[in-house]
Amino acid sequence: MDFETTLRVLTELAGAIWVTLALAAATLPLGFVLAALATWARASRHRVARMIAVAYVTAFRSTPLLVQIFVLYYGLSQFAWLRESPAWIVLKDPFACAVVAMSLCTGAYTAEVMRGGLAAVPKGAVEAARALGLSPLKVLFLVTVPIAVRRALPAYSNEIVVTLKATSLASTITVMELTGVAKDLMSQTFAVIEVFCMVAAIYLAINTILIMLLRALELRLTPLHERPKPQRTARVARPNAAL
Amino acid sequence: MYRKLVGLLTALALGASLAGPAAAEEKPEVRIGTDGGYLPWSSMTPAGELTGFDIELAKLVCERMERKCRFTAQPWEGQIPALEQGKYDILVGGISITAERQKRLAFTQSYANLPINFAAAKSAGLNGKSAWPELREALVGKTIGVQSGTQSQRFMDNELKGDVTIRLYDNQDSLNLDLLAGRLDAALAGRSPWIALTGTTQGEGIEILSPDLNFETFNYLGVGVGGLMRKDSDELRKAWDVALCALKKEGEIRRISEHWFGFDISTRADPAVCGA
Repeated sequence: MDFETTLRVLTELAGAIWVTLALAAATLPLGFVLAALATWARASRHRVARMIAVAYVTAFRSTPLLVQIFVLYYGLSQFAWLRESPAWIVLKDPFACAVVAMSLCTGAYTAEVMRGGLAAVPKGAVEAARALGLSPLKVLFLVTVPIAVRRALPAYSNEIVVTLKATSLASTITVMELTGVAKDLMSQTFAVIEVFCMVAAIYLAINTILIMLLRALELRLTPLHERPKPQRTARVARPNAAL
Repeated sequence: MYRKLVGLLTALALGASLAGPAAAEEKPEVRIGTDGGYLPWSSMTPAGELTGFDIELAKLVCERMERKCRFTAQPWEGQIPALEQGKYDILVGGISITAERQKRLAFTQSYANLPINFAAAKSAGLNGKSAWPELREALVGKTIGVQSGTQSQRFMDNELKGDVTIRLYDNQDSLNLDLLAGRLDAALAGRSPWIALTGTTQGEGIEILSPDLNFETFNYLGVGVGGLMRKDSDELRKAWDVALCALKKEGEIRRISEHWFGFDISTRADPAVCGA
């Protein structure tokens, strides 16, 4: 690839980074809300609510995201009545469709992460809080949630990274994010290896920054006495070293 | 049991290595890559067999060359890398001959040439424009779909970029679905997929827009379609060209063109390749 082409490819890819970030930024909060709803429903007293939540999580965890996107985008548009309904405002737009499909998917996985986090809360801590006479709401926000968040954060970081990578599937429904632009550039320049290595490097850079930020957050949330001690090079004289 | 199996495998391996040199004298089969989802050039029957204008033509060429041919269907976007890696000897399926592709790869002579057309819902009232500038004006501000990596996309980039919203599709089928669903105001492709689409009951509401955007007015679109191969396969290219010359002269390409397209899209024999 000559210099001019490289420059053009890089400029176009740089523009697409924002689309990728926007997809992830719209998907993650929506997915989080869906996951919170599902977690709440799974712990509900009502059987129907529990069943709906379990069905949702199972269905979206057990089918490929690509299939979910296709069903939502190409599948639903087959129904004329749907095209005339207000839902079409969302479904007509490829970006919105991608966000909805990915939110549903990441919501199901995040619900599992939340379940894991809640299960890791020691019963003793909750009982102790109750024994101190804290109200159930206070127990939830002062004891259960802080511990659960700490336990769930490593798994949730993973989910964030996975979601960012999954945005590449949006290119199959015409959203021109990083991978979509890369495919287009590839067919123009034929520089398959070069273009895709650049794309891989961009994803790597974004995710490295994300992972570092999430690590820092994890450390902040860990109480002082549980933080790993900074390692120092030991300068202790070895006994018997002279022998 | 295990020993028997090992013995059997060894015997098989020996047999294969003995049979090797004898088989090598015969010319290896020609591995042909094609889209399989690009009606009527190259498509799949419900039974999973490849069919279409290019498939039928390639079979005739193989017959002429007295070579065995094997067809493999693969989506267009991965075909050129696969060809360069040596997974195929030649690609066929409505592939336009362009200077850019010729830089890295080699083409057979052109054997067919087809205009590209916009298509839109009849209700949009975009049809009936007599010349391109007039149609262009009507399209400004619209959302238009096109298959990526095609000559139609090139046309969009050259003539309409910035004035319309361009949506890129991996294949013609997805493009059709979104045109039918009304997500697109118009779509651009070779004339043939539109003939196929408007002929179905689903596509009743779609019409092909005039004018025909042909390769003569927009010369960057190239001289038509050809078989695409690596630059190092000179021998195969020559054999393929000789067969194409004969098939053109006998009117065979015209015959299958009329069968698949409903009209003649064959190009004349290239004098540089076929002689006078």
